[in-house]
Amino acid sequence: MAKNENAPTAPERIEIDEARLRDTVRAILEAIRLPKGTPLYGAFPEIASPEDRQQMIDDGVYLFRASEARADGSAVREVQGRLLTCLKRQMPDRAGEWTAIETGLGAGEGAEHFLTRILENDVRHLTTKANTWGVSPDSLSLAALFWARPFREEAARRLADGVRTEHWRMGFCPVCGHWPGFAYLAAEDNRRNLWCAACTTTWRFDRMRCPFCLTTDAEKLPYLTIDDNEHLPLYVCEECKRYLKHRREEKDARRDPDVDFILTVPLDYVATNQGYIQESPIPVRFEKPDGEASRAYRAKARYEDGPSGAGNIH
Amino acid sequence: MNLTRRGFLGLAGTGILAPVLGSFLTPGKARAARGEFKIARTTETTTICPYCGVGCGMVVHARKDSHGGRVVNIEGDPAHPINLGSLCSKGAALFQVANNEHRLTKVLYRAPGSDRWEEKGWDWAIRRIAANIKKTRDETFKAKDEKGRLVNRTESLACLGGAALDSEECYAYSKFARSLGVVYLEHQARI
Repeated sequence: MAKNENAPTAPERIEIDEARLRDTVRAILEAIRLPKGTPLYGAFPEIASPEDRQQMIDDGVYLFRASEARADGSAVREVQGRLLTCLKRQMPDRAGEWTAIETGLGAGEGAEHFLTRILENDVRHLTTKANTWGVSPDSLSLAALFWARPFREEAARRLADGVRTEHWRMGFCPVCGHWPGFAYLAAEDNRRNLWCAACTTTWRFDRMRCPFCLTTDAEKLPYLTIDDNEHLPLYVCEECKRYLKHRREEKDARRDPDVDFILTVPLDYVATNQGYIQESPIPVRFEKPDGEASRAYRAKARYEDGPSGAGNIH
Repeated sequence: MNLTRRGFLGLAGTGILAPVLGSFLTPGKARAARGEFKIARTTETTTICPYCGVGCGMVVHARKDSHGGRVVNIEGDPAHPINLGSLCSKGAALFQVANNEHRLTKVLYRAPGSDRWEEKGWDWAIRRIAANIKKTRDETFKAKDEKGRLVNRTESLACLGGAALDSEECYAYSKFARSLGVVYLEHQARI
């Protein structure tokens, strides 16, 4: 049999304890869910009217302005406490790190301030604190992602209310501006829905276009499948070297994006070993929505060839 | 690359998941496993369904393998304005045309009066078709009709455009047919 020279080289097999990890993800999601009606924000940027928000979406500008939001202190501490307790229980091998984070937050600037910086996507602050507290930036990022989750979800709920995104053609989240963490290929019509790991918003995006660099050259947008898992294609971009994990949905299947996002970690391993780059869900695509880079991306998304990535926020 | 579990845990900076979740690796298997991930690389290309005149958009998934390459999946193109990702049962089964042991991959020719097929090359087939067209056209070409009016046509040739032809191809095809004097010119979409 002739050797296929185009086949990627295969790394050593890594297997994951799916049942335990699924339990952990569900336990984390349960831990960060506060009782209905719990106030999450002391102040929230009421971005004028739905018309103004609609105008932002039509202009390709994401909605959330973290600098204008102030999370409610007691809610912040409540989520922090529940999350770290859960992490200590579910991931005891890193208990020292969770304790160090807890201690660091209690001794220093406080939980409220830290979460505000997370909502502002201040990665440098996160890295500095990780070094100060002696924990891995990855562990702190994971905790920060889920700690900020209920606040971002609440922001998404308020901001997306009454807003339509038929003309949203960007690869980043229309609500909070983060890169997609996962994607689904719908069974009914093969459309692609991107999922934001930060605020859990989903939005439609062109199937044959890289959400990160917007290339539409099909030759540069192959997908990898690992161990015959055809339902979990890993779309890569040879132009910008980024990748995005996908699930090919079955009809009427119930989505569980957090579980999919985390249980597919072997795909991250394979992708990074193939030289592709994982976009972290912590930083946003464009810190300055009206900056030069943002304008260039938006112009490319709108006017380059290719059909519309139209869709609705779900 | 031969990364051990320790190496895997050391992949800091690749994202937030892989390094942190290293403890969820099945330890025994992870250390001892000597198998390899089987990685397949697939490209997607858009095309048009060849069957009918609706012209539905399709996405063809092709994968290189030890035999060179093969189609592994065909599905409706969700971005195509005509079908928005859906396909009829015939179009949805197009995959079976590409992957079918009965599909002809070489030119077969049965000579007049013969009871057997012969394998021929593409160059031979094209030349043969061209020669037959020219012969028929030359033998049946009419410069004028019965009333002496200039017509420059042949009524012994007919052309039928296929559904897979796009607008530009149809334009070129009709120009070619008209240059021969063909008057019986149709397209599958009108039938």
